[in-house]
Amino acid sequence: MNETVPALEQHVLIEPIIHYPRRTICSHNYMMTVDVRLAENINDWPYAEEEYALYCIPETYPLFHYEALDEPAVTLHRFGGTYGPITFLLTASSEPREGSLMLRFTNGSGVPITTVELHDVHVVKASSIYSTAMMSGFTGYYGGGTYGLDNIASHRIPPEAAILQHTITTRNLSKSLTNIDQIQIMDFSPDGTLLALAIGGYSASVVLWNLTSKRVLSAFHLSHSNEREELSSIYFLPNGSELIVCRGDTISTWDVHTGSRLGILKGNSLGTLASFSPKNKADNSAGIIPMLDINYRNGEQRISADGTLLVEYPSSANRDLEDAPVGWGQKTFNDENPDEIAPAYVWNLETRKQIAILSGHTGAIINLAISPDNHLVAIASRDASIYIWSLNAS
Amino acid sequence: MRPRAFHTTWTRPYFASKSSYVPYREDDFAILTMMLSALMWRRCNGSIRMYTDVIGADYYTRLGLIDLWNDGIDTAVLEQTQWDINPRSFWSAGKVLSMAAETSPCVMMDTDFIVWFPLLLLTRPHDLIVIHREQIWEAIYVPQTALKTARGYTFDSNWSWEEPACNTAFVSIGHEEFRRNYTSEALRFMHKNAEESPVASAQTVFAEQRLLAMCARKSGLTIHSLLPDSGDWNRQHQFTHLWGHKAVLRRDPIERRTFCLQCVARIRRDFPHEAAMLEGIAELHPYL
Repeated sequence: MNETVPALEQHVLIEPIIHYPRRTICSHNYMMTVDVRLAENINDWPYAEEEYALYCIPETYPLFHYEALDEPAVTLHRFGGTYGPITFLLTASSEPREGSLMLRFTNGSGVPITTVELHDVHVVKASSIYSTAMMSGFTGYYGGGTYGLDNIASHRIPPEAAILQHTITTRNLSKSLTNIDQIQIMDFSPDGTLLALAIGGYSASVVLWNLTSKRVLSAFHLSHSNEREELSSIYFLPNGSELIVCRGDTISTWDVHTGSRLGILKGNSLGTLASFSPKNKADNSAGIIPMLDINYRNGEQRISADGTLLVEYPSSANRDLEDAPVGWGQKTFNDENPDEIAPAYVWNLETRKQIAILSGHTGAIINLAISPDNHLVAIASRDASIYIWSLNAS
Repeated sequence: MRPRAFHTTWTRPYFASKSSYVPYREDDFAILTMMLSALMWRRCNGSIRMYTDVIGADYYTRLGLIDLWNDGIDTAVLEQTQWDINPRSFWSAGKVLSMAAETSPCVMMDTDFIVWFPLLLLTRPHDLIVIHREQIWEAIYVPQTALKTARGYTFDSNWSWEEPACNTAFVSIGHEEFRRNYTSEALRFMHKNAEESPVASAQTVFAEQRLLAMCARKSGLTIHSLLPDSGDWNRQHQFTHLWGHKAVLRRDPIERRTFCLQCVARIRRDFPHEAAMLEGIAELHPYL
């Protein structure tokens, strides 16, 4: 709830802007921010000083325990705006309650200026939460409130820049494998006609998907007793008929058509792979990412073979947190996007522009691959599907 | 199979709220949001139809929006209904009447609701998908005993009154028998139910939103929500719902101008071929 309350009673030149949760779950953490601005009818800076500081003291008991995450002061500058709001971490009570929050404002000398009361705040048990209407701007009408207004002005390109070609589902692979929930890694063949899917952990398998016929070309198990470690990567060789599989410190090559193992290398797999990998698979190139307006603070990235495209998606490292309730102030990967179906963003690294948002999947992204010609992006999703996107924007 | 979507504009509630006749009109921001809603749906998800009455169709024709809905404008359904419905109590009844005239799968979408991406979930078999659930707040979803009913009407004893309601700004029904059951129950409640509740929206939200969930529960259907039950929906990129912000736009001219300029810019950038429609709408000239 973002609310501008009436101007402070005894200090009518300043209006507080308070961002606070109104409907909360027992024992969960939430963020409350307190900022100020000059009242709208004030055109000239009314103070002798360049800056004017206000202190805020919340009274949140018994609804919340609070903790100020920095100095509980907000400083208004004569050139407009403040240096940032005061941030409080609120921990909801363990029992359901409802009531008000009080915010007392003082000046820098501790002299009380006024008090703002925030009514109609609820702490409820998780089982009774079915709507976040209150948290999303609910102000007394039904309908769940307003949301997504920023989407109208966002500078993303329209979805036509990326067209869904087809999806690969469990049903497609049923003759080869019964469960693709465990897809770990993928790679396109050099000519872009095949997609290799590595599935499972200790009993790993590989499925070769023909993107032209939209059928399984071949499938084989990587069952060798001395290879008990999890898959770390798979890559096509430039000839397109051999696949490199990395497991632990072992690299093996496989014939994609017959599913037979052709050779094995032992040693430092990452170092060895880097020396003969046909593509530059550097996934996290320092120096590039900071130039972009990256969408996920803890995201993962894939860079195309020629280094011109970057696709980012939410970090798999935090994936286990998906099911945790997300409230304001909680630091999960969903901090950037609380929806499980967070999209992938495609960037042109030459122009530094975002060129597509890939958002059709209905589960979290497990893995992602870019075809060598930059035309296709494959997204493996937790919804047991792989989405093949065609990027028709350069 | 891609489900067809529809918008609904039923003008009777507009006139029922006026003490004297004024020509039907919509706010500039409402027109722009509706345009984005239809255009984005066409681009990302398929066809869309407008169900309205003659007055609404005439208004959209005069605005030059007749081609906005690629599946056409239907006036037969809302003009020829046999249902006797009080538009003051049931101002959203037009949506239910439209849904009753459809066949599954179909998507009911408010004109102030925008889907920004291909909603692939709809192409798969499903029973009922809604944008989100709503807790039963008694101030809005009044108790059974507080609902006004027509003479002789009885509530189904198998309905669960604890079931959270469904927000119907966006609804996809893929189950044909359920679509018929829900719409007939909603219309049965509204028919000849003239007495108005002291709670402004109580009657219509029961018929439209709460009954949807109760009927689905009784039928044993799974209700899928597109938005999670918790979290800040302002941080998602998939949907926009203007809803209560309309009141802000009506009273804040600066916010209103900013919003309209953003919508115009978005339409011009993303739909250059359709942007010509903007020129013919006098209400939008301040933003062009």
